[in-house]
Amino acid sequence: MLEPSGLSTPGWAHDPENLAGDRLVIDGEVHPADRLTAVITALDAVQPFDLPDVRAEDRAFVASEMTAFLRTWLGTLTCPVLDRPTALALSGAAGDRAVWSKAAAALAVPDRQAAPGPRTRTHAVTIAAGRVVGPAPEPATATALSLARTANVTAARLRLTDDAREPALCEAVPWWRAPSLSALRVLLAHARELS
Amino acid sequence: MTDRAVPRAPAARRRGPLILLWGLPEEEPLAAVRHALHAREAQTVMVDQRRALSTRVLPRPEAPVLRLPDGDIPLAEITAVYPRPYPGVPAARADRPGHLVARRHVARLERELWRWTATTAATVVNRPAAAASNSTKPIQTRVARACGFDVPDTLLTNDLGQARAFAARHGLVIYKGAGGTRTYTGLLDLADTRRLERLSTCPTYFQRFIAGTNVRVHVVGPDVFAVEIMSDAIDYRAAPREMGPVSLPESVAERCRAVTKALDLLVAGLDLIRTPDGDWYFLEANPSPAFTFYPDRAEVGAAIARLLTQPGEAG
Repeated sequence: MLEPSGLSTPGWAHDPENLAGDRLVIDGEVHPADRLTAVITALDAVQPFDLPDVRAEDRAFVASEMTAFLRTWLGTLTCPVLDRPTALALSGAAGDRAVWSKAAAALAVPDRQAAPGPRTRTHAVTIAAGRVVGPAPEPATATALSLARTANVTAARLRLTDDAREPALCEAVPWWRAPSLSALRVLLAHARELS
Repeated sequence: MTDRAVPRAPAARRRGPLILLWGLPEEEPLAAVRHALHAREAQTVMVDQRRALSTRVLPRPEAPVLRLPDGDIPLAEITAVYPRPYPGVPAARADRPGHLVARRHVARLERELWRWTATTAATVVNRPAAAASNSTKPIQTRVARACGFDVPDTLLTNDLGQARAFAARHGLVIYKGAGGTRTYTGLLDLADTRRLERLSTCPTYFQRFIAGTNVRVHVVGPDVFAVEIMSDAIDYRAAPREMGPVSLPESVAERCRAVTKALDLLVAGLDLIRTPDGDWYFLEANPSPAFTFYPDRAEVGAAIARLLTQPGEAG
């Protein structure tokens, strides 16, 4: 388990052009980066409040630098990373409205992310590694699975309207925003398979 | 003045490009582009950050509407966007009553506008996902290397031993921010133990120092503008001695276009170093360049205005 404050333990080293010498620090011990067999991320960016041990006046800058470090490091790891960072989020595109809009357009799924409209009943569907985690009705589950596949997102929590024929997409967020032990178990099993 | 006083009746609106400018009107690059757009008789709509409290994005099922202090405008009518919002603008200053409510309003407005710029069919200079490349400079250097540029040897570390070994290999080494926060480049001083004690706080971005002449290149669609900067400082912004236009070899100009395209940017400010041996090193790309710092500001501003009014120019 690596938390942002772990990046303040000496030993980290990353050369974007030559990964052979990369080092990481877990639980105070330095390891070669190629010892990792898979990574599951549950963080979009390091925030100043993640760093209580850093001087208050430095926290915002250090958080921004740590985010930059993680983005380039996670992006170059040779092992599976669920999901690879995008320019906007360390844990991938699960919370990127533009990515879901594109997927919805490709599948002709109504996209109501920008304007959810009047109060309508919705279902939350958690997708992890091509599976629906937890109870959710059809056709919302099938639509959510198709959207995740098209968006190339491994795990996300989607909210779709309760429509028997054509569920509309109202919201998509990373799976860890509504933490689910079941989703984590599915992802861990998936990571083991991939590695 | 051709900022549009927004007529509520659609029939009263002129046809043609309608450019949304977002930021502080007096900020130099924004003002320069606005001036160049008005010289082209283009219509502009200004989202003034200081008036954020009387600005909203109204969600509508068909298309969102931008509510400005002087009228509404359907965002679907906007043909191009030049966003340059500043963080922490006065509209939500903490010393004003109700600042928390104001801050929430401003944050929501900015979030809605950024989300819209991410998906709109309008030309956006630059879209948020592309502009975010600025927040990870090592990724930019990887892209630049793939496009044919030399890049300085690099190490990100929070380990003093690793930093010392890197400096021993390369001699002079610089450090700078890897993220989006504006920082100045400095020379690593291994005798500065007080600062080095704090290295463990977070991985720091080190690069081999490249001796040569700084060249700033602005890529605007297909157009490339280059300026040579004479300076004795490690970071020329701190003390530019002399700046003047320079002609780039076509192969270098082509690499600049390729980097800009690979980063998915329509406009970029690239910092290069030309060595005495004639090698060209890429240092970093700025997706929201403060081009008015450089002597070719009028040409760059005009090119951005052209790009915003004639999106086909984006190439």
